Amino acid sequence: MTREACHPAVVVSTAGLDTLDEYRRLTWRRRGLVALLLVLALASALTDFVSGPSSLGVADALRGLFDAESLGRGQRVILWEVRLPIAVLAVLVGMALALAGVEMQTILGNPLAEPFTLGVSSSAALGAALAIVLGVGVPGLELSWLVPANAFVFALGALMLLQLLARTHHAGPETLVLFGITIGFAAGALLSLLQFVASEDALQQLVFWTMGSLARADWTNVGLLAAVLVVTMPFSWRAARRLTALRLGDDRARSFGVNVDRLRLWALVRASLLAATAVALVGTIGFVGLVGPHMARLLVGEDHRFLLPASVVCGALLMSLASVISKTLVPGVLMPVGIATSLVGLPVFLALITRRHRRR
Amino acid sequence: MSTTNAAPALEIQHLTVSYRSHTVLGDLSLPPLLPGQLVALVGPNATGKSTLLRALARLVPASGQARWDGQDLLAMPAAALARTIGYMPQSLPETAALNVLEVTLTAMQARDLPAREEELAAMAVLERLGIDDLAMRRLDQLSGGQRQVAALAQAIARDSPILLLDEPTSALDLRHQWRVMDTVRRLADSGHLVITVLHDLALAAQWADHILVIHRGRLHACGTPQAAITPEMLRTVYGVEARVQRCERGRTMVLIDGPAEAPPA
Repeated sequence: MTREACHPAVVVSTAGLDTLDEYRRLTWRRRGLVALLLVLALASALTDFVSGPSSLGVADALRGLFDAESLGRGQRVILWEVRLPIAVLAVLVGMALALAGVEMQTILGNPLAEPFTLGVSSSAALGAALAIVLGVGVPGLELSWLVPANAFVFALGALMLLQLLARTHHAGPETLVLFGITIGFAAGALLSLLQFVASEDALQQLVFWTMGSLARADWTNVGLLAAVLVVTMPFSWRAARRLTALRLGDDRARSFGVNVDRLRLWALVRASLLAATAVALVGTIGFVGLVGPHMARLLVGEDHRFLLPASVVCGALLMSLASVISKTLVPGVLMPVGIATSLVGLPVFLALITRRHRRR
Repeated sequence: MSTTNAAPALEIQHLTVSYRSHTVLGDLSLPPLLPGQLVALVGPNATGKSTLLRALARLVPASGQARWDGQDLLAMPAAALARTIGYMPQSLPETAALNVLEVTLTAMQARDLPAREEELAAMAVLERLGIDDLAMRRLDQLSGGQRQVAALAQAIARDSPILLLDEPTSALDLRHQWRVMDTVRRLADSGHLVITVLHDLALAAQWADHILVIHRGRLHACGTPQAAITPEMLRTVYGVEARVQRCERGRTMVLIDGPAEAPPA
C-alpha cells in the first residue's frame, strides 16, 4: 500500500511514510532544543550582565541597557565598559571553544579531543609565560597586547606543528592525538621551568592567567573573537554533512565523495583559529571545549547539521553560567572563570551521562 | 545509471596495488564485467580480494587501468566516483550517535537530491532490505547483523551502477543472509554490476553469475560457478581436499574432506 510516490522509482509504504514523519518530528524537536538552549544562554548572559559586585541594581542595569543616558557616568562605565563586554565575551568564548572542540572530536574520531588535549592551551600558556616572566614576545607590541599576542602565536604554532608532523609522517587521527599530547607535555614542562625561575610577582600573574579570566574583557576583545566566529562558522556549517560522514570512518566518507584530507585540514585550521583566539583573550579555560559538544551530542545526536549549532549554544550557556557563578559564588569577589567552568560543567555533564545510561 | 545504448563494462587491466615493498595485487587483469552481473570474489584470507574493492573505490593507491563506460575510475573526480561506485566496507562503527535513516541519508550526499526526495529514496532502500523498522534506531542499539544490513543500505542508497560489497553476509544469520543475497541478486537483475567478496562458496555458487578466484594477488580462475569451483581449485588455492556436487536444483555444494597433503600453491 502506498500513500505517496514522489519519484517514479521510489515507492514507500504507509508505515515508511509514518517513519519519515517521525524523523521530521525528531528534526524539529532538535531545532526546538537548540532554540531553547539559545534562550537559556541569552537569559544567562542577561543575568551575567545584571550581576556584579557594584551596588547597581537589576532595574537600573536593565534600564541602562536600553537607555544609557539615564545613568550616571560611573554606572554607565560599569555597565557598558565592564559588565556588557564580560557577558558578551563569555558567550563568544563558550561558542568558540565548543565549536573548536566538536570539530576536533569529529575529525580526530576521539571524544576526548579538545584544545586542551591537543596541547593548544599549554602552548598558549607557555607563550603567555614567556611574555610575563621574561618579557619576550612578538616585537613592536605594547605590554597589554604582548601576553595575548604571544599566547595566540604559540597556540596557533602548536597546531601548525601538529599539522606539519601529521603531514610528514602521514599520521592518522590516533597519531595526531598522540602528537598533540606530546606537544602539550613539552609545553607544560617548559612552562614549569619558567615558573621555577619566575619572580614572585610574575608567578602570581602567570598563575592568574592560566586560571582563565574574563576580567580583561573589552570591546576590542569582543570584536576580535566575534570576527573569528563570523569568518569560521559559515564554513563549519557548510561542512556539516561531510563531518557527519566522517563519523562513520574515513573509508566510508571517502566513498561518499568526501575529500577527507581536505576536510580534516580545514576543520583543524578553523578549530585552531577559534581556540587560539579564545585562549589568547581569556587564558586557559578547560572543560567547555569538551563538555559543550558532549552535552550537545547527548541532546541532539551526531547529525552535524544539529550538533554544530547545539554545541555552540551549549558552550555559550556553560561559559555564561560560569561567568555568573564566578561573580556570585564569593560575594564581592570576581573568581577566575576557569575554576567556575569546571564547577558548572561537571554536574551538568554527570547528570546527562547518568540520564542517558538510565534510558538505555 | 548510464543511458548509452552500448552497455558499459568495467574493464580492469594490469591493476597493481603495493604497500611499500609488498605487492598485494600484482598486474591483475579481469575479463570485462557487465551490468546485470553478480560477481563473487572468492579466495583464502589475505589474498587481495578486499584490496581489489578498495582499489576500485580509490581507498588505496593503485596503478594500471580500471575503466567504466570508457571513463578512468582511477582519475575520476571524487564526487563522480561516489555516484559511480557504491562501496560497502566490512563493518559499520557502532559508536556514532546516528540512527539508521540518518546513516543512509549521509551516504547519499553525492546524489544531491532535494531533501524530501532523498528521504523517500532512503526509506525505500530500508524497506527493500527489510530494516525499515530499524530506521529510527541508533547504531549502538543494533546487533552486528543489523548493522551489516544498515551498511548495505548505505551502499545501495547511492544508486550507483557499480556496487562493491565486502563480505556483506559475514555476520548474518541464515534468514538475513538469504535476504541480503536476494536483494543483491535483484539489484544485479535490475542492471547494477555487483561485485561482492564472499567467503562462503555455497552462497557464491548459489547466487553469483560469475566467480573470480583470487589467489596471492592474481586471478587464479574465473567463470560460472560450475566452471570455477572445482576440486582442483579448492586443493590448489585453499589447500583442502573437497568434493563438488551438483544437487537437484542445479546448485553447487562443496563438501570438505580434510586438508590436502600439499599446502596451497
